[in-house]
Amino acid sequence: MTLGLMLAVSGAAVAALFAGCGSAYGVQVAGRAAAGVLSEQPDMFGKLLVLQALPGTQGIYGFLIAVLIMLNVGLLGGSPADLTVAQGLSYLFAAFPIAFGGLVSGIHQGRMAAAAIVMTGKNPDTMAKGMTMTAVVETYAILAFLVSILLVFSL
Amino acid sequence: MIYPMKKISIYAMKQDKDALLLALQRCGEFMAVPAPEGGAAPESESTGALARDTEDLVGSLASFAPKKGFLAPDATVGFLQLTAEDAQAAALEETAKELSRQMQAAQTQIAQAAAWQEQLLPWKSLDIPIEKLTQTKTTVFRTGVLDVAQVDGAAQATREAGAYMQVIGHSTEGELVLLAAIKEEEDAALEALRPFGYADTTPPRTTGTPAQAMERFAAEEAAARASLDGAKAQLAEVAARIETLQILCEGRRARAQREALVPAETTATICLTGWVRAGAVEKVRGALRVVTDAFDLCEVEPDAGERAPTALKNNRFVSPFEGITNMFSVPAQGTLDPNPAMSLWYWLIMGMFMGDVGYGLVMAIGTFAYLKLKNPQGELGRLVRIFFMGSFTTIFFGVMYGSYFSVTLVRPVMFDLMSQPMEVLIFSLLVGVAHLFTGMVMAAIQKARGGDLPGAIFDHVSWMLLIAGLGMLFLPLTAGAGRIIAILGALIILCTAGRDAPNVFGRITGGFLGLYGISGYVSDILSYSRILALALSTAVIGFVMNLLAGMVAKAGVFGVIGAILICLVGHVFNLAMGLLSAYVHDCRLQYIEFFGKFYEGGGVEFKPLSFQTKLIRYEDKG
Repeated sequence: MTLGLMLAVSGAAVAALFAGCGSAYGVQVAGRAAAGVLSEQPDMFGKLLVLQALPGTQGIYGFLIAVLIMLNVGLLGGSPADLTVAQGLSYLFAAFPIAFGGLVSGIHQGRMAAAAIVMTGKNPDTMAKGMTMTAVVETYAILAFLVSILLVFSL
Repeated sequence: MIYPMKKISIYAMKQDKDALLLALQRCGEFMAVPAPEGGAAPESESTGALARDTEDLVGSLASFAPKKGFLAPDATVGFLQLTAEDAQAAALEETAKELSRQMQAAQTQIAQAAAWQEQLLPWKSLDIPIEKLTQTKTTVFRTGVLDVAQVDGAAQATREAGAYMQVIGHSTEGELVLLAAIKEEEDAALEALRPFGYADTTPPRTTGTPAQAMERFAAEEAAARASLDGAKAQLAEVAARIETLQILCEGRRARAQREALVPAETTATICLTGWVRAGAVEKVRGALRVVTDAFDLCEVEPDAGERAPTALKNNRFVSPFEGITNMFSVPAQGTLDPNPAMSLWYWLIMGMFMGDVGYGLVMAIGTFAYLKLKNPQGELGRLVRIFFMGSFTTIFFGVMYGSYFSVTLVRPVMFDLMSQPMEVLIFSLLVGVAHLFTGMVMAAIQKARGGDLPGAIFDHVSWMLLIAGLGMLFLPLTAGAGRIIAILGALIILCTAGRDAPNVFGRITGGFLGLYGISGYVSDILSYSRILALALSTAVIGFVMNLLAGMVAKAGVFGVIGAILICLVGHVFNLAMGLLSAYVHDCRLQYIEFFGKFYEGGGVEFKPLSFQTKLIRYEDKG
């Protein structure tokens, strides 16, 4: 295994790791808010679950980038490529947008989702507004994901 | 389309009030204008509270009711059943309430008896009745607690002080002891015990020896349990007739809605004022005529500034999407209904997000079966119908992307997501431009209809020219024409954006500021890159599941079973997450990008007085 391949592996690792951490935190914050509302209004479970799941996408994006890097360097169903250090570093940097974009946006989307959940608990009619405002935060995770994906594909 | 509304007043005799309101509720076409004072009649409060009580009762009975299959059809209730005063149902409710009380009392009793037994347990070996643990003519008895390590020392010290000590049992605080001393020597004995950390404590205040008392409480607990089981069995019998209670509850809720409607009245007459869809006036008149001839229904002019509620009329394709618009804001009376255009785009974009033939088929079969078997109404029904329709675009774009459960079976018609992301990105942005243009055309139409045709050209057509021209620059063939169109659009904006400013200086800055709005359009268009992101994420997750299943499948028979499991769970998860994302982001694209261009909303939904049941489905079978 070359140093270049190791760097590419670390790229896959940071993508899944940081984006996953961001989503885990986000889903947790939103879930706790939802649990609080549900203790008073158990029949809102369906609505609140949708809001809680929103900050979960960053983790999926990170996971996807990790898989794409592994596929590209032949770690999944192939023979590992002998990458140069420069190639490996490129994969690592390509993973950075979704790794850190996912981490930070996941945390903040979770806080936004928690606020939306409390709002929906007080007035169920405002759910769509809460959902939209929460999805606005995700835009930046999507942009980061796109940059990562276009970089990985172009390598 | 938004229905035109008529404001009507109904004059009638007071004695017909209840019958007329009932007829209006059954007809379901009349939305009363709120009473000016806003004070609801007191009896509606109490009927509403009764309905809520019954609803709570039904909720608590639900766990006793026989389980229905998930797809079993919902029970229905007709008009006569819902509005009849059912003495039997009221009696059943009383029985259920009494049984619930009995159950709660038994539960409390069981908990109390258990607590007594637990407290008495450490004292069990004490063979003196608790009430007798005071004093005789010469002797005093005390009970107390000692640390385990101190018991031996304390016993000796007590003996030396001329008293008697006996260990009764362990408690959480330490060893329970019984102390007996001659009255005169009590102080000396206590003094001798002090270094050992003795503290007084008394057994629970009850009668008989602790063992006897425990038996008594055990018997009490058993009796309470028997009573609880009896109550539960009887509740299960009541719960088998839960529909009667559901009907009772809905009947009361409907009555509360009627009572909340307070007409203006004189000694002998009433006047009801409200909104009716323009085409439904005769229907309302007919419904009232069934009750009495002694009424007058006349159309009245709306007050100045009063806005009619919005009732939408759309075909079967568009109407489920009305819910999505209403979640954002109900269209206002007298504006353009955004639903026809929105529904088409929502439908297309949902397919682009999902884009898989296999998932589309699963969605189609699942939602179709659900619609046929359960016929869901309301919000849920709308959502399921949207997903059903979305399954067709999902299949269509699945063929375009060549994705069949994330396997490329047939060569993609348009692009392969995994190997041509740039092409898909450009396609996504083009879709975005088309979507935004639709919104801008709507805005232009709205402005032109309002008589401001130049405004429509200056504010909307100009931007469409500029964006289209800039887009054409990318193709060598159209670059020349694109440059001219873009410059034309930019010039219009530059010259007209500041037209409302009072002086030349303001108009020039206004023009440049208007041109700066391009940043907003760029971010709107880029927002559609999420089509690529979500389509790709669905495709890649499915691909990874297939890859994992393929790896596992190599390991013999169990491998194949494992592979099937991975495929099932993985694809179901992927489909569910994909649907959630598609729903949310499709909404977002409509709300922020599309509606942001033209739609204001701000209407009030037309909610006529009708039978809105929650627990049981209402069907007017006559």
